[in-house]
Amino acid sequence: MPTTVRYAEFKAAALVALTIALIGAFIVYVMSARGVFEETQRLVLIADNSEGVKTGMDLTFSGFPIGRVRRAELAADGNVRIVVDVSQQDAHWLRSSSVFTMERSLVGDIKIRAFSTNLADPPLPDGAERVVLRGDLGEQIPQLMASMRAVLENLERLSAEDSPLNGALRDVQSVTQRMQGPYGAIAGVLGSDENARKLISTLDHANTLLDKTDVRVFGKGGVMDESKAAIRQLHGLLRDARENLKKVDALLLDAQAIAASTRTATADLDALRSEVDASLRKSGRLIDALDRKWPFARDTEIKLP
Amino acid sequence: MNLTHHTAPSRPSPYGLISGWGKLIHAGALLFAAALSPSTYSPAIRRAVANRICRTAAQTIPLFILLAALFSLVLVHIVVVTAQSYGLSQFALGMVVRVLVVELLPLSAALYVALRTDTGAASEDNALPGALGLPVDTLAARLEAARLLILPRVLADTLTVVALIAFGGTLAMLLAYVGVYGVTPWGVAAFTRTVGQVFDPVVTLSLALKTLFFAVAVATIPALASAASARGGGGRDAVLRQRPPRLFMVLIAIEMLALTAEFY
Repeated sequence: MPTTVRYAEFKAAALVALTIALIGAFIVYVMSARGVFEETQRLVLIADNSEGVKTGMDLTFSGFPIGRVRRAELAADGNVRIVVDVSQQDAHWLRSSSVFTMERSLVGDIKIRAFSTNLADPPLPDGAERVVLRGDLGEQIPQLMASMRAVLENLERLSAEDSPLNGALRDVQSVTQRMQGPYGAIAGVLGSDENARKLISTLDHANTLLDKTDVRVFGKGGVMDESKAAIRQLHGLLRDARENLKKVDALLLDAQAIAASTRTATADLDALRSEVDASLRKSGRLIDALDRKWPFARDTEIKLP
Repeated sequence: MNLTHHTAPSRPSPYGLISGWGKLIHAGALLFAAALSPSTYSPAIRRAVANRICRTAAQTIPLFILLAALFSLVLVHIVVVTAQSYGLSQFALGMVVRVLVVELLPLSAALYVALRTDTGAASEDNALPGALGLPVDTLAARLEAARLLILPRVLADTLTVVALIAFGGTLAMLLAYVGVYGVTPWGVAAFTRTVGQVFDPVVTLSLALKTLFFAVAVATIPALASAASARGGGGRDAVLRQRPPRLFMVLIAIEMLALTAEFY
């Protein structure tokens, strides 16, 4: 027979007790991890498709799990009711204005998320029903691929050997190469060193001309000095003209007085004029009579051919 | 209650195979019925059971805990690093817990106890024929002898398998926590949440039943085979050679059933 172990019964009992305690602790831990001892409030999310929704999956807020899906059931109207247990401790993150989304990523389960933009709104009541918005990345892939293809084709066209962009870049390169020459950016803009040289010589001529002009215009006895003297003379002339105008003004006053005297004399002239008219008419008649007498008579008769 | 003569060496015919399995199950059921009866535990048997538990635990638990810790460390590191390299680190912890605690450690514990007791059984088997071969004619005397020799071994192996799975699982979860979050208390909430998601009712029940059946199979099949070989005389070596394949078949069948329950 094998040798006897000391305190065998105690040791065996201790091993059994430790094993049972570990198993019991594990069961309690798992129950606690599954929220069995948690006080919760209920939230019902209405979706059009329950695909990917599993019991026990998380409802997250800002990346932190605040609730878990208890079950998903089909409602009488054909929609899906996803019943979520939200722990009382975290329920204050959900407000009446909160938005819920259900997103499917490329890898892994779908994710149910809550967004609360205004935490000052009233809290979400127990048993509230909210419509969940679906965002499926997989559904957008064909659209994304079509857009990507168009972008890539454009890029290919842009980067082709004979593309306008390539030509423009070649032109830019030739311009910048010209700019590296002795005449710098001027040669780049004007097209060649020859043109740049001409421009620079023109500028030199212009500078010389300007120097001469400076001497002629602003130098001693130049145009500017003469202009000053002329202006001074003009100023004297203007002063004289003003004096003359004053004299004309006096003459006009005198003329006004003469005009007034003339107006009174004009009344006597009317009678005189009528007499002169009468004399003239008499003289006319006398001349007519003389004309009719011979040898002053003219042949006034019109003879027809 | 005769516990020994039911497990005759298996014959090649299908009928014999089925009959052998039936006898094995019957004998195992009788054995556990006896183990669960308080009247079984006379002071002598109680002492024998306690002795056997202590010796088996001392033989298996320290080394298994060490190996399980090393294996867990390596596996956790591999899974975490691989998951990070693919940008899937959020799934690493769940995968480690599911693969290590639920699947690999229970099977490893069962196989470890089966191999330890199988290799260790050789010396004990030498004592068995001697004990059973005593000139005992009465049924009561044979039953007492069977209880004294088989029952402690069966109970000790059962308890050891359960204890190894419990200790190994706890250690693996601690190492998984440290491997994923490091030595910090700030990952406890996320870790608890992940454990809660992995251990849904189906997985928890599957783990519990798997542990129980592993323990029963590992404890019963080799012990009954030893007893049968002790009685079988000349067929002993053949039976001893058959013992591990039969046990492995049972263990694999239990694992497959558990996997089917978990994933379908």
